Amino acid sequence: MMRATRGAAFATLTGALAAGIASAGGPLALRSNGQAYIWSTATAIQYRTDDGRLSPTVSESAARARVQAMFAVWQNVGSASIRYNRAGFIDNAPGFTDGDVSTAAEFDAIEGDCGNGNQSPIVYDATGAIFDAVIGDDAVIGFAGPCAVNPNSGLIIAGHAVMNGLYQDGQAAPIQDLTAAEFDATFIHEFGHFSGLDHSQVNVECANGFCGADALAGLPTMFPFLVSDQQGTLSIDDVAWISKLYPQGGGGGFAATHGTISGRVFFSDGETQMQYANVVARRIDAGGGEPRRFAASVVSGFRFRACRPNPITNPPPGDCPPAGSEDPSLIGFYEMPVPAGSYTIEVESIDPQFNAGSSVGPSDFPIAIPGTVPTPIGPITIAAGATSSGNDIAVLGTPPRFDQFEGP
Amino acid sequence: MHAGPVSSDAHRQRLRGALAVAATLLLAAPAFAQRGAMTVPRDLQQMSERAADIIRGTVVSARVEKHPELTNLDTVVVTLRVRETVKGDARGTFTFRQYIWDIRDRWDAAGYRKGQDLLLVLNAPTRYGLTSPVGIEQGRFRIRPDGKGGYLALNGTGNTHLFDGIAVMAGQKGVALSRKQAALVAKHHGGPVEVGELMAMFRAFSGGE
Repeated sequence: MMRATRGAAFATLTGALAAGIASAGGPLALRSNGQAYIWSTATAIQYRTDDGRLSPTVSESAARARVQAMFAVWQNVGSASIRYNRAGFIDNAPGFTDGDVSTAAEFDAIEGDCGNGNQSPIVYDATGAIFDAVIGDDAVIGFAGPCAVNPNSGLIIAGHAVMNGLYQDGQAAPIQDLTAAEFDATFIHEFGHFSGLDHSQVNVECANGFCGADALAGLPTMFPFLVSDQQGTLSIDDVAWISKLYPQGGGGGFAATHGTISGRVFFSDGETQMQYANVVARRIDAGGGEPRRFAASVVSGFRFRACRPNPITNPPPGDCPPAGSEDPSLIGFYEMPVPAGSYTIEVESIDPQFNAGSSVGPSDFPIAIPGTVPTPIGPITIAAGATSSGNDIAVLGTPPRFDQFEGP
Repeated sequence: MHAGPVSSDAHRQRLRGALAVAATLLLAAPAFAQRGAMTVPRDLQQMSERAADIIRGTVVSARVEKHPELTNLDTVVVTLRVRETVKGDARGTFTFRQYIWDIRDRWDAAGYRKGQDLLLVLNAPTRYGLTSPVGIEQGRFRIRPDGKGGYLALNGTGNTHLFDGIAVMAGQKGVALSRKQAALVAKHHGGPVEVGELMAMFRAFSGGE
């Protein structure tokens, strides 16, 4: 087993991970230059926790320990430099003074402080009252993400998370609990968003009901669906991408353990770049089951802002992502961090289930790859610290098309 | 595999058993990611029961603005031209205000765009006048032409789990499914569905007919 795990068990595996595993699905939010919004690593991310209970059955101290353990899952990645520090209880803000966010008005006050970049609160909604007031639906387990960014520096300034205590209150009504492991896996995923990571499609068969043991082992924490509490353990994909965004230096760091594979996806003319194809690197040099256990992914054109419909990939009118570069050389470009090793590279459509809020990559709407998906290319052997570029893939049998700026 | 409003105890026990043997696994998602949030699955019956309004309409406008009372909260205010009302009494134009928590939603009005054809299954407004689709993205169906003169609807989780347990529930609720609907419910595991059939089922489970 070569996956990262939480808590003490993780620490014992960090060495194995650093020695040679890999990658995830890309950044959550992009600047207009196509670069990811990330936190500064000059200091640890300073988050603050609620001074109230998570639920009637989960005390503040127990919740605090669980939150720390969830952040530790990401922090303990040896090849990543991201760090988190609990700075204390949620700080006073205009309209909020008691440390326990328990009403919509208090939540509003704290959201304002987060939006102003003053603090990064982790709110426990012990009774579901806040969710009831602002969403009106107890189907929401919680949410998290950046709440303030600096477009000039590209830095995330503050982040927030809100946890619905109804899912941990020991009661079957009004909503049945998740297990502690499921709840924690949910927020480890959410803290991935908090840290700047997007969703990832690796081993997509797991979304459709069938998931072999190897596929489950390689299933990212940042997969759009939680299908198992095993996703509370980071996959190769998660580890690679958090390391790519926050590379740790030195021995055991990113450059000492990971390389980068890049290329472009093309239509069958071999010239026109194709955006929105999911590109997966699968490791083939480490024995049985490795291709599904050790896989990393990214979406072609993940840094490109596609505002112009084209006649084949045809995003809906107005489906213009809010950010990203408009450099046309990036339309079909992909780049993946992977642990040193040998890989095949394959392309696939983004699953149609992953749309809108569960989307993967730069488009809200998955677009089926036209033509025929080619057989995987490779093997590509990548050494630590090296980049293998030009690993281009052409989809077969696509219809004639026009340049992306010409239209039909 | 059926998943209830949350993964049931029975489901979780099966899941754990399957995990223990580490064989080929049959898994159902107990939670869906939704733009920085996670939600539990809602099926069509649950959505119908919970909804205050079920509307098909065209987005006239969508703008991001602060809430008038909770002045630090970002919201998107969406106005629809109502085409058909399945539940509730919306007529003409219908406007609702939805809380948004994800920074990307501020940039793209949570994906609501002028001209969109939507089927919205909406919760009742909260005491602060905030309204979300049931199950968030699960209650927001984008409608697109099917290329054959019809229209298809797809929600933000790809209609996954939408029809789980619906055949049984229809029997319990005394809802008569047409042959076509019964076939759809029996076979569907995800992906677009014909909007007319979907609306008819929402209407039936809402007590409309």
